[in-house]
Amino acid sequence: MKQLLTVEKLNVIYGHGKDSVHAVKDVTFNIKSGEIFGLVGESGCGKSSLGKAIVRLTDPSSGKMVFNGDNVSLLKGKALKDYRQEVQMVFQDPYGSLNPRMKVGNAIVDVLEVHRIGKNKAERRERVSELFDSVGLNREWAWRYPHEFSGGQRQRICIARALALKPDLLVADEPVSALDVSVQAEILQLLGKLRTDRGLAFLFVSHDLAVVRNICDRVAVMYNGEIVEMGDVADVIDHPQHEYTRKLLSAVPSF
Amino acid sequence: MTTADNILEVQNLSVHFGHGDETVKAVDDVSFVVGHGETLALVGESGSGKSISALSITKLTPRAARFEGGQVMFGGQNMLSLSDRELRGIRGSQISYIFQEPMVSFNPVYTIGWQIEEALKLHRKGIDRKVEISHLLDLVYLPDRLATAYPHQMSGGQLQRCMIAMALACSPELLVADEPTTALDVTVQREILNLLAELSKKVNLSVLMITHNFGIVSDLADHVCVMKKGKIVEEGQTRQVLDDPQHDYTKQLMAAVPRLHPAKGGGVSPMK
Repeated sequence: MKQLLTVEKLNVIYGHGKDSVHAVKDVTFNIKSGEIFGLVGESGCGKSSLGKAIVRLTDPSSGKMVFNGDNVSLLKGKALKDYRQEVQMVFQDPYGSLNPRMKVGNAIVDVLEVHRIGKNKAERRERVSELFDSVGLNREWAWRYPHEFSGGQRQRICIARALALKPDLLVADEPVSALDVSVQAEILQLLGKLRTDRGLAFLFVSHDLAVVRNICDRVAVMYNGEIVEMGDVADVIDHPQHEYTRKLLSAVPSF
Repeated sequence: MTTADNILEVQNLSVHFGHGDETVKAVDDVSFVVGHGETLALVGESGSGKSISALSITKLTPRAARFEGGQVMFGGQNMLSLSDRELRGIRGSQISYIFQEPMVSFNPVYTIGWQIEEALKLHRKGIDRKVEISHLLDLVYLPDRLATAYPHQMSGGQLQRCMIAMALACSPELLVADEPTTALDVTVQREILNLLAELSKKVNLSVLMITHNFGIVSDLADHVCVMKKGKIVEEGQTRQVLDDPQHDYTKQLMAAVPRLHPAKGGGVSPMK
C-alpha cells in the first residue's frame, strides 16, 4: 500500500511564553491508503489537536505533513481549499455538528456549492441522495431537519457530509463516543464498509482501546502530547510496552 | 409491602405516553427488586424504557407520562400514591439520583459548595454544613478548596464526583445512577466506577444502575435486568446472565460491546 500521509516531527503549541501549552510534541507517523489508523489517549493528551492540525483546522507550529507527495503543512488559499477536498473530518457530537435550522440535505448541498461540484441544484441534490444511500439512510430523509433524527442517524449524516467531496482520508474524532453501544456497533460497521468500498483511509481518534481494537489496523498511543507507543493494533493490545498503554487497557470494562 | 431484604420493590409497573393509537408503552408491566446494599443494573439500548423506569420510582417522569398500573414500594409505602409534598421529602434525602451529563446537571452560576449545601439546608437541619461539605468532598477524593470552584473550572470526572458527593449529602438509602459514566473517558470512567463500588460497600448503599454497556454491568452489579421495548426480557445474577445469556436480545447487546480480545472473525456486531 502506498503512503497517503506522512507526519514528521509535528508540533502544535497554543499561546505564547509562560502561558503556552505544548499540545503536540514532535509527533511522527504515517497513514497508508485505505488504512484505519487509531489514535488513543485520555482527554487532554493532544489527540484532537493532532487531528485538527492534519485537517489544518489548527496550524502546526513546526514540523512537516506530506499528503500524496505534497507538503501540506504550509498550504494557503486555493491550495488549502483543494487539500480540504481530500481530507475531511467527522466530530464526536453529531447534535452539535448540524445547524438545527437547516435541512440536513442542504447542509451537504452547501459543501458542494462551496467547492463548485455539480452543474446545478438538481445535480447537487441528486448527489446528496447518492450520499444518503451510501451511509444507509433513506434518500427522502435528506429534506428533514436535524431534530427529526436519532443520534446514530445524525452521525451518519455527518459522515455523508464528510464524504461529499470524495476525500481520501477521513479524520474521525471520537465518532462513536456519544453513542449507545448498539448504535456504536452500527457506525463502526459503516466505517469499515466505506474503507472496503471506497478505499478510504481513516485517522480514528478515540479514548477507548476496545473500540480501536475492533476497527483499526494500527494504533498510536498518545500521552502528554507525545506518541509513547505505536504498532499493529493486536500487538499493542496483547503486548503493551509502555506503562500508560497498560493503564488504558486496564480501564476498559470487560466481562 | 417491602420485605426485610429488599429496599425497593417495583411491581407490575406500567407507564404510558400518548393516547389511543398513538400510545407508547414506555414501561410495560415491569417488576424488579433492589436488595439492601445490593446493586441492580437495568440494561437496554436507548428507548428501551430503562430511564423512565428509574425516574418513575420518585415520579420524576415528564408531565406527559401516565401511570397505568403497578406499585413502587419503598420504606413501607407505595411511592405512586404519595403527594408531591411527601415525595419531595423523600427525593434527595432517601432516594437520590446521579445523571449522565455532569456538565448540565450543575447550575453554572453557583459554586459547587453552594450547590451541595442546598441539599443539606433542605434535608439536614442543625448540622455544621461547612464541616459536612468538606467531609463529603473527602468521601469522593476531592480537595476541600474545590467547594469554592464553579462548575466550568472543573473537568467532567471531577464534576461527576461532585454530583456523587451531592447525592450522598443526605445519606440516602438508594442511589439511582442513570448512565453515570457514559459521557466520560474510559480512564475517568474506571475511576468513577471504582468509587461507586467502594462507596456502596463503605456506606452500605443500595444502587439502581442504568446503563447500555454490559462491561459496566459486569463491574458493578449483583443482579441485572435486561429491558427491551418497555419489558424486562431477562433477569438474573450478573455472572449467570453474562456467562449464559438466554434471550437473543441479551446476546445481541453483549455482542455489540467492543472487546479488547475479540473472538476470531469477531468484532462488534450491530443489533438486528
